[in-house]
Amino acid sequence: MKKPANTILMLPAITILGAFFVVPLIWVVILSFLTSGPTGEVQNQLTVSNYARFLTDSYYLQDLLLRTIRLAAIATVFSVAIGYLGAFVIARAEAAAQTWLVMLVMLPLWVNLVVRTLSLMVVLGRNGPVNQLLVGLGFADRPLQLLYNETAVIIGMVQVAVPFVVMSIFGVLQSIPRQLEHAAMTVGATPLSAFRRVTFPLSLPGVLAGSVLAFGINVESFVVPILLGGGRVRFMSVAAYETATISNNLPFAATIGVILLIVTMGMLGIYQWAVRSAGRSTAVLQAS
Amino acid sequence: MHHIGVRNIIKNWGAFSALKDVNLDVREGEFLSILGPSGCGKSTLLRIIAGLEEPSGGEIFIAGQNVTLDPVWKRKIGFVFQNFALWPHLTVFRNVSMGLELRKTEKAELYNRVMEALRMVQLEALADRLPAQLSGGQQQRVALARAIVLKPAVLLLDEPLSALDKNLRQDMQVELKALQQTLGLTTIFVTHDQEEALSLSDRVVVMNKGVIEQLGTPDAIYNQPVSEYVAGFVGEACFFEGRIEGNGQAKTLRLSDGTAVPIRGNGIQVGQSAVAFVRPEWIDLNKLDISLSPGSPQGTIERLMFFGQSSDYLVRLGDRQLRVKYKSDGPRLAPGDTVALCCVARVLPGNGAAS
Repeated sequence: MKKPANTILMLPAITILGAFFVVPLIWVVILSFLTSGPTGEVQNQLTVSNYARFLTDSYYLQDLLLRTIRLAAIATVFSVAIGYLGAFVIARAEAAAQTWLVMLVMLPLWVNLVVRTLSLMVVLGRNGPVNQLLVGLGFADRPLQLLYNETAVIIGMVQVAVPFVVMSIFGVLQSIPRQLEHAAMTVGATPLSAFRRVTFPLSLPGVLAGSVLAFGINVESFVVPILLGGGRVRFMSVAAYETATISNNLPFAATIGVILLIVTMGMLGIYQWAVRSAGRSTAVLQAS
Repeated sequence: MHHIGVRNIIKNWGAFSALKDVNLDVREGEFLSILGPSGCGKSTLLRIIAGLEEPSGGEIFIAGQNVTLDPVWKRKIGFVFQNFALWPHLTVFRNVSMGLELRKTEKAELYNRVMEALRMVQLEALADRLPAQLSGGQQQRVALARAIVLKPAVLLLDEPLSALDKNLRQDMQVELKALQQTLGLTTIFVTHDQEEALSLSDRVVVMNKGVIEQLGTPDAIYNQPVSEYVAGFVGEACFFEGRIEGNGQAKTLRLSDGTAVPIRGNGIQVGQSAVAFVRPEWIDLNKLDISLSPGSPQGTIERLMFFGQSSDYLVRLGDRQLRVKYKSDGPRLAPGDTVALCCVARVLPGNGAAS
């Protein structure tokens, strides 16, 4: 706090964050240590039984938590791979085309997530274009079951995460001078090995940022697993929602939420550590 | 025998032609500078020789081979970029070794050659540093080591010293020249700094608007420029326009104000109109009352500019101002003094028409 004026200017933000984020979050954490009565009323009695129940039951641990992490991780890998290609193409496009390509990437974000996911259901449905194409070209005898399974959920999550990955990698690629690749070519590197030895390592901070962003978004997916999973693919956020509304067990729903939060925070921690060890090269780029 | 051959090179950027039919031969082991203002096409020409830019027409030869269609990575060149272009994520050692790694050089040989290159630029102690931990001059040396470690057929330098401050630049000039001579490297050095070009080079190319204006030794470029453009770009010059008069050996240029300047030069013909120029150090100033040269141009001392090791008089001559080197054996002059200019101007060939 160097200047009192700064503190005053920050007050509105602190107030809003405090009232609508920090306090409810603390309440959720407290709630996760309480229990629910037979009719769903919260009982003011501190206990760790919710956590014990979650962590000892292989259904919650394996079928719910591990599946959530696994699907989010797989979707993240695909998102980063697809996003990197997109970001690279945009970074190497001419300045005039760049603006349009960035707009194109951002376009899906202007469409409501539910609408986007519903349209994906049409695309992947029994009579959707994908199945028509597969059958029409003879790759399949009859329409495949593309919906209501893990693949569908992964496709949905990738679709959501890719724009964010593209933007975070694009930013880093833009900041790497092309001259560094040219310099590699002057010492005998082909364009491919110049990319592999120079541009790619220097773009890793963007890959890291993009993958954390993608994982964070994917692991908290709600609309995608509900719609594309059709209730058959168990997912943390969906389970929390159902526990709170259908089972009317608010404390256990809070527990699921807190565990999900811890997983996300853990990922962020690993990210911070990774960035700090890769940070030397980023700092160098920004300095030059 | 040329070592680098530039044949009829043309480069167009849309409607703008950056290089207009450039021809150039660089001899083996020669240090050749390409000098010109920004936008004259000098860097484009260097990048075309390196293969970093494709010419719109013409051919490039390196060591007798037509390399016009070869990509950069197949040409045996060393290239030093203006802003060094070191790889920030690699140590000094790895920056220098990458070219050898790409050639699958055996480990012990790779180590020896990298360390030898670093020793040549006096950086072997800093091999494990990252570029960001080095000063500008040290980064420059790494870039140089990276270029020479592969023992290239030619060394191409794109304004490599312009990012350094003045003292460091002068030190690096000396080192660069020594290194080039030790290795006997054919070198093309692009610069906009005429002193740098004159002091380092065996020969200098002066470029203007995509065309080579003059190619010659530093002495020829400075003392016998072929055009007003070269004379003005390579050093300080004051131009006189007039008609050639005289008989026998002593010829003068009669100016429009009636004064006359003694001239020298090749192919001077009495009666012709011509342009002649003088350098600041060619001029003697005489106080008017003791003038020994009646009819010579007269001016007024405006001020004395002190630079430390030397000083210049600024002299007002009609509607223009010219610089005259202060000479310790000359008369002491003060602002306001009227002086006669005593000099022999050099006539530019072909009426000195630059464009």
